[in-house]
Amino acid sequence: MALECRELGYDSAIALGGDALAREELGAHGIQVLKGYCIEEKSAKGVTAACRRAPGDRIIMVEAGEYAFNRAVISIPGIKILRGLWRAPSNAVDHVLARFAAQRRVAWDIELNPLVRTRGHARQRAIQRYRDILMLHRRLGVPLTISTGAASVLEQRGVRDAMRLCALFGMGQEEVYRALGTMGLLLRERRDVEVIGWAGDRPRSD
Amino acid sequence: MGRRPPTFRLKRRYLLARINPPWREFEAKELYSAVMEAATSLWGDRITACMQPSVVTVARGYAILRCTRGEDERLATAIATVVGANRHPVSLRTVARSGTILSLKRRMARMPLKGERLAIERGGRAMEAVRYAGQKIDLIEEGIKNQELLFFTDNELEER
Repeated sequence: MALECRELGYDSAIALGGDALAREELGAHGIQVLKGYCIEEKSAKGVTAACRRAPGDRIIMVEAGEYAFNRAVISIPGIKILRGLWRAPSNAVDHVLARFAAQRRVAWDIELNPLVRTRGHARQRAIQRYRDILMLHRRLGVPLTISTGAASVLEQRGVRDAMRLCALFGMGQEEVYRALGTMGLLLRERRDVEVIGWAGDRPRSD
Repeated sequence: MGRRPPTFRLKRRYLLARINPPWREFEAKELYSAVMEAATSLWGDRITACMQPSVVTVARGYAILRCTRGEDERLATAIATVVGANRHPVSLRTVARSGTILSLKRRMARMPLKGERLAIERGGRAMEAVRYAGQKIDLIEEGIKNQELLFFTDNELEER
C-alpha cells in the first residue's frame, strides 16, 4: 500500500497498525510512513486514558462524536486529528469548536471514503457536512487534513483524484494542497513547553 | 440520428485509465456498466446524458473512456468513485486525457506492462504471484476470498 501511495504522488503516509520494521524499510523506497494511533472511545475519560497508553511516536487521532465529547477531546494534549466528522451528528461541530480547534491546532479530517464508497443520501450528507467544515476552515482557520481511510490498495486515491473529489464540496486546488501538507506542518510546529506532570512532589508556589 | 458530417459531430475527449487490480480481466461492457452507475449516482441523469460516457477499449490493464468535450473533468471525478464491476472490486485511476484515441494508444504502449505471473509455494500453500514495476507483488491464493497481510523482508528471502 505504501508503494502504491508513492506511485499515486504522495511523499508520506500515516498508517494505523501493521509492522514497524516493514515501515522503516519502506523509507528507502521513497515513501515516509508515519505511525498513527486511532482512538475510538465513547467518553473523554476513556480518550485521556487511551492517550496515556499510546506509544510516544504515534500521531494520535480520535473518532468524533457528540459536541460535548468533541470539545473535551480537543482540549486533551497530544491529540492531532479529529476524524470521522461525516459520521458524527450534524450539531457535532460549530464555530466555537472550530475556533477552539484552531487555537489548539487540532486538525479536522476530511475522509474521501464516504465520497467514493457511499451513494445517494449518505454521500449527500457527507458532502453537506464537508461544506460546513470547509466554511469553518475558511473563516476561522481550523486546520484540515485529507485522508483516504483506505484499508486496501483499491481504496487508495491519488492526489488528483483527491482534488476532484474535494471539488465536489467546493474545495479549491490550493486548499487541497494545503490540507495535504497540514500534518507535516503540525508536526514541525514549535510549541510552548507544556508541563504534563511532576516527577516528584509539586513545588510550593511561595 | 444517423452519421453526421464532421462539422456537425460532437467533439469528444478520451481518458486513459489504469485498472486496479491489473490481473483481473474485465470486458468493456462490464466497465461501462460500472462507470455509468458511478456517473449517474454522482452527477444525476441530466449531466450524465450530456457527458455521454462510454468505454472504447480495454487492453493491457488499461481502459480508454470517451465523453463529450468539456465534460472530461466530471467523468474523471465519476470514475474515481468506481468501486466495483461485475461484482468484483476494482478502482480506475485516470492516467492521461487526450482529444484522440491514437495518442492514448501510443501512451498506453509506453506504460508498464501488466504484471508477470509466477506460481510459487509459501507455507505449504500454492499461490500465484503477480509482479509489477515498483517492487510490488500480489499474492493470490485460489479459493481465498479475504485479504491477508504479509510482510516480506530481506531476511525472510535469504531463509528461503
